[in-house]
Amino acid sequence: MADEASTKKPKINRREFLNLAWLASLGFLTLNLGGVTYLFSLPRFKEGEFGGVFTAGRVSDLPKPGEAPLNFPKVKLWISHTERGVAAIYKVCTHLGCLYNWNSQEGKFICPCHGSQFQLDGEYIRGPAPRSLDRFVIQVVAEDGTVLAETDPATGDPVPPPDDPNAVIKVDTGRKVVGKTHS
Amino acid sequence: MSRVQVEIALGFLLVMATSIILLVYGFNEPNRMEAFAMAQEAHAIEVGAALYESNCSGCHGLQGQGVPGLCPPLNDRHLFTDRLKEVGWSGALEDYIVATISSGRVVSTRPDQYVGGGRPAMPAWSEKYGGPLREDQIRYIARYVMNWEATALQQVELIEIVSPVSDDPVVRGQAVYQKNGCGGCHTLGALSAGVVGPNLTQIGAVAETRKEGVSAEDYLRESILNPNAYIVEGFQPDIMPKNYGDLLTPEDLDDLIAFLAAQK
Amino acid sequence: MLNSAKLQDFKKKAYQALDNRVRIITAGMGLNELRAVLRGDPPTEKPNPRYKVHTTSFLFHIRPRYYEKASTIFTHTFRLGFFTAFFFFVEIFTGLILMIFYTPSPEKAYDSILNLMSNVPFGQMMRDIHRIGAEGMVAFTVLHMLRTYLTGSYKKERSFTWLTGVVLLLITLLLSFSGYLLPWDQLAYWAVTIGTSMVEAAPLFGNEVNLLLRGAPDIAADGLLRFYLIHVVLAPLAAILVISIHYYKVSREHGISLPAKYEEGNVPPEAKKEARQRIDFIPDLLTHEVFLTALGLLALVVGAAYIYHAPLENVANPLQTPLDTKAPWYFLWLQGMLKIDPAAIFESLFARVGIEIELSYLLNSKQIMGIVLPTILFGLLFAVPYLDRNPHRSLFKRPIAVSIGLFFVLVLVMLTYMGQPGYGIETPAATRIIQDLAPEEGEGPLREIPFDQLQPGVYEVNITRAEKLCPELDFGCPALEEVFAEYTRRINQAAEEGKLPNVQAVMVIEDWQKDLRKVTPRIIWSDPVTGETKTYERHIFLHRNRGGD
Repeated sequence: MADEASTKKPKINRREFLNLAWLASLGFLTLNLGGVTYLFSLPRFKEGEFGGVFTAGRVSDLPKPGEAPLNFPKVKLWISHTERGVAAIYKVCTHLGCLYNWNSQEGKFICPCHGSQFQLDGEYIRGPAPRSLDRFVIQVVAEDGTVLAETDPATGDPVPPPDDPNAVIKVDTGRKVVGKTHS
Repeated sequence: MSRVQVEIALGFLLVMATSIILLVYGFNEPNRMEAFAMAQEAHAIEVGAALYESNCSGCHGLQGQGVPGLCPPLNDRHLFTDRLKEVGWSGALEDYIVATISSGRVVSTRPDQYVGGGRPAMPAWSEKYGGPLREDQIRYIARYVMNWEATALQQVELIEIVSPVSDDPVVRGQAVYQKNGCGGCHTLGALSAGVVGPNLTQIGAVAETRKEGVSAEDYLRESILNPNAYIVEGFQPDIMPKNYGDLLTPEDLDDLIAFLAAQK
Repeated sequence: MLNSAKLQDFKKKAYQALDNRVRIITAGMGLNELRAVLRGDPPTEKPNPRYKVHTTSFLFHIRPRYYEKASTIFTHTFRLGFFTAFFFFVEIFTGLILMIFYTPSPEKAYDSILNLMSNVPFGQMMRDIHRIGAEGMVAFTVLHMLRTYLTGSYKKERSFTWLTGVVLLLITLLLSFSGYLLPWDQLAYWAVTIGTSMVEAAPLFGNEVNLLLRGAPDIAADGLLRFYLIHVVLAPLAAILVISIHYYKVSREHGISLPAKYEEGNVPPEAKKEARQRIDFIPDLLTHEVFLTALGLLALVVGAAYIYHAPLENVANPLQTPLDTKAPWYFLWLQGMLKIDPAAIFESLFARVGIEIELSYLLNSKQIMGIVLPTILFGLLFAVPYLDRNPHRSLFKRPIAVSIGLFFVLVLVMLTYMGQPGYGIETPAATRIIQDLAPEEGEGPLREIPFDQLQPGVYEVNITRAEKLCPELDFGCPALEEVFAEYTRRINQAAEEGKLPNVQAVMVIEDWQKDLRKVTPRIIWSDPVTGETKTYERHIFLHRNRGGD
């Protein structure tokens, strides 16, 4: 084996250059094909399916503030109308994934698996769950399409419902606001 | 350049071209997909139109106008605004239509307005319940019906359904006319607006002189029992059902002829 | 200075470790050798590390270490075998990826394809590539076989390779046929019904094989599932197995054949020596193959993106066979054969000599033309190397073999032509005219008229002139005028030929619903035999947004 220090490495010749360029372009193509495969395989959501935007009825369908929340079992959703406004709460308990129910006698959400309890707006009360319930971003849209109210995606706080009784409540189940961890 | 080097250089160009084409195509994909989805929607309505024409138009009319007293109109504002509340359906209108077509109606939900075709008032069309249509065919028909939303007329004027118990054969005959869906094909004054068969508004007068030496009643009887015996100009043979002789009782037939003969 | 020495030492050790790693991964080539390959320089070590790759690496062990120069002449092989394999790999990739979105159930299959094309990025492209690749694979397999036949490369020691090749032809046809059913549209359903019905006609076990394929007397959910499994599991595994055997014999056992003249022709010995000169696979031929692959990929992507789109007819309707149903093009020859009635031919031959004889009970057309003859033909194909006693490979020394081959190709082309839908099938004139205007499946000129040019009205043939039909439309309606003119022409032609006496024809266009118009072409004529009035019409609904295909 020749000693590296004494032989001069030959300068790049045309064929080598072309080959390297070709290899680079093949790498680029491979990235492209990878992207194509990824985009192809990623599921896309249509409206109404879980993961997409769900229409939960009109403002006039809401219960009075403080009353029992509306149940949408197929999309695993509670729509709560609290003093502060409307919130869309994900029905999956933040502890280990069971679906919890509204207990109308006690006026709170109680999870049947390990007993975690949450308020109407999703705030954690007590139990083994690490954080408050997750909420979805809501948009309240008038009939002509203007957005009248929207949940702040940073806080997920309930939005006061606008006055228009015909405005439609749209819940974007693709945008989830994770509940705050309690101390 | 040697042959191999030409191949390498060309190879480089080919690969770059492929990558660029994929990128360009990829950027246009959302447009293409949307156009395709729209074309599919349009196609669904087209297929639904053909299916509707061959299966539903006999009762609900070629233009969805319904037959007063028999089948409700579908090209109708009421269907698209109040119907769901009326029946207490909590889902979407299209699902309601699909459900109604699939399982039919044992008894009409509005028997005083639309009697339907006896028992059942509307047959079940889905294969699942013994009918002739597949699920996707029913969905296509529903899409076609939904397409009437844009042009739905004001609610069709309600025609009083005449009770069959009456002394007057003409009144009984009108009930027979309505119950058997004659209006699905024939126009008769304000009673019905079918376009497949000849207009019967003045059939009583016409029947007297249509055939030499044949009385109006005889002509009417022949037309009902043996439709192909005389074809009115501009219309086709073999369209009117030939089995009314079996479907109608002799009394019903007499009443119907009396009713038609009175249309002058 | 000490640091520098230590650094040098470290660099040397690192380089050696890296070089070692590379040697292990590439099964024999170090960094220097790789560079030499890229530069086109001769091997840097003895023994030639590039050969070592072929003997120790799994991926390269089936590739030959070198080719004889004359076997790489383009016009000798046209790289047909290479491209057949190329298409096979393309099919595997696109097929696997399409499986993500396809469901093999009659209720879901068609919708899954619609979803693929409307809701999946690159969905239509993948489907189109898969379709082009399938047809390409069949075409190239046949061309490759033809080339091998003409260059006599099936003789002596290569006869078993030829056999595996014919097996591959059958597997390729099976792959294409089983995949054809999967979209579950009218085209698929009826083409496969015809195909499996032919299987049913086979004597002895035809019924059982048909049941095995369909899973039930008629094609339904069971049939679709079985075809899917054949297409996705059974046939690909068989293909991979037989391709491996086939290619191993070609590349490792016998090598690609040389053009015949170098083996048996009047060529000077120096030329023969040069013909046998070895060209290493790495790097020149490997480069060549990568180049061909890039070419093939570009052609596929461009073809799928801009030129050809896989058709999709209406969803399968097991209760209604559309007019002009047709087999895939590579089975048209079989369709053509099925239109020949051997009993009738023989009966007419006998009749010429005055003998009246009934032969249909003896010569069952379905069995003879659908099963017996094709089996004999394939049997002959298998037996070619054993039937051919001529030891020569050169074209000029095998006139009989070459003429039989060309004759075979001609017959195939003729049968394919006869297999076209509509050929040899009597369709009544009125039906044929309207079918050509607006076929039951597919587009046709009538459906291609832009929506805005479908001016509502009644257009009567020979009464309404086919010009200036739409004076109120901004740009007129040239497409409608063209179609109506063609309609008029066909009606008049049929009337002249006596097929439609007393003909009256009309085209009615009505506004039917929002953005929906109904077109009714209607033909009324007197039956030439009985004189009674007959009508034929079709109702065609066209929506504004239907888009063109």
